[in-house]
Amino acid sequence: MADEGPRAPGAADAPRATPGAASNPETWVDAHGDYLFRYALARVRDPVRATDLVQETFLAALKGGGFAGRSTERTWLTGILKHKIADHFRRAGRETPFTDLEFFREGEAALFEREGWSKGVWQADQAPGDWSAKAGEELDRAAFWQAFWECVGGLPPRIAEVFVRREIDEVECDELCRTLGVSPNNLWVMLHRARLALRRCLENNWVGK
Amino acid sequence: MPRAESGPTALKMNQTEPAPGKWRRWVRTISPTCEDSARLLSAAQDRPLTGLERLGLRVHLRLCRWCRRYAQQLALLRQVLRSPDGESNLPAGELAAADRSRIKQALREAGR
Repeated sequence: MADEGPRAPGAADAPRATPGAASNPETWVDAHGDYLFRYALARVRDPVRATDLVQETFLAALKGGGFAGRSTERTWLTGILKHKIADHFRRAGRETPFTDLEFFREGEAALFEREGWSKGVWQADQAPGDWSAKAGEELDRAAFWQAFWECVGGLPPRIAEVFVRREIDEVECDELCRTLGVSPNNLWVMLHRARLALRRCLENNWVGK
Repeated sequence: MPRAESGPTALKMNQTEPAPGKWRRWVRTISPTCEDSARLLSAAQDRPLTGLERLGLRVHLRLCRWCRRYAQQLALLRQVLRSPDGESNLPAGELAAADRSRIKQALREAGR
């Protein structure tokens, strides 16, 4: 059912060991299930879909004949999951809804003065604050990531997906445009507004604490 | 042009005050607004800026502390988000117990 996409990496070239010879596939679920689920959830902001992707990953891993032992078991499974996620976005081929293109349009406008000689200048209470206390040498990464994911959770799911794929997975803009069915200009606007919204959220929830 | 004003006092030009002096008017004509600069800073994360865009942005960043901060914040985000931070760079969450057993069941059936 799940495995119509291209073969997963490690699946095609893994030696044909008896499944379960090295490790019982069911133990994968306890050992790596939560990690893979979080990895998927970071990119596909829908728990049901993320769960499906984890299951597809395990099934593809099983079909591929088990772990070949060239890396860690987790790295191997994560590699398969990455391909499942890429397939998911390729297959989805959805149109980006109007609401996503409009996301934070008014929020953006409200960050800046609208009238008179100061038009286009940051509103004094919205202007970027000083992050140097938190962002200096000893940046607390765990605290940063926690605040980051909370802030990402506040974005519309599709905007969050685009932002994470661009900034964390380093997907190129033209590939994002293709899979999202938007123009480069639309994509830049989405990313720009996501950055403005995240900046403000991080300032409140991370720097300000 | 009043060069002497390019120090800390010039930074205040962005804070709201009514009557625009000659200096502020001049700045407005050669520098993009903060709103435009924020767009350019974001665009620079995704594509190369044109020469004219770079020039305008450079002028604006010289004058505006707020946009300099935004530039630093974007740079920090890019640096941290693209660093391999292992498992700490994932959101909280776990497989629901029901899903866990369903997946195990599927693996058992597929393995037969």
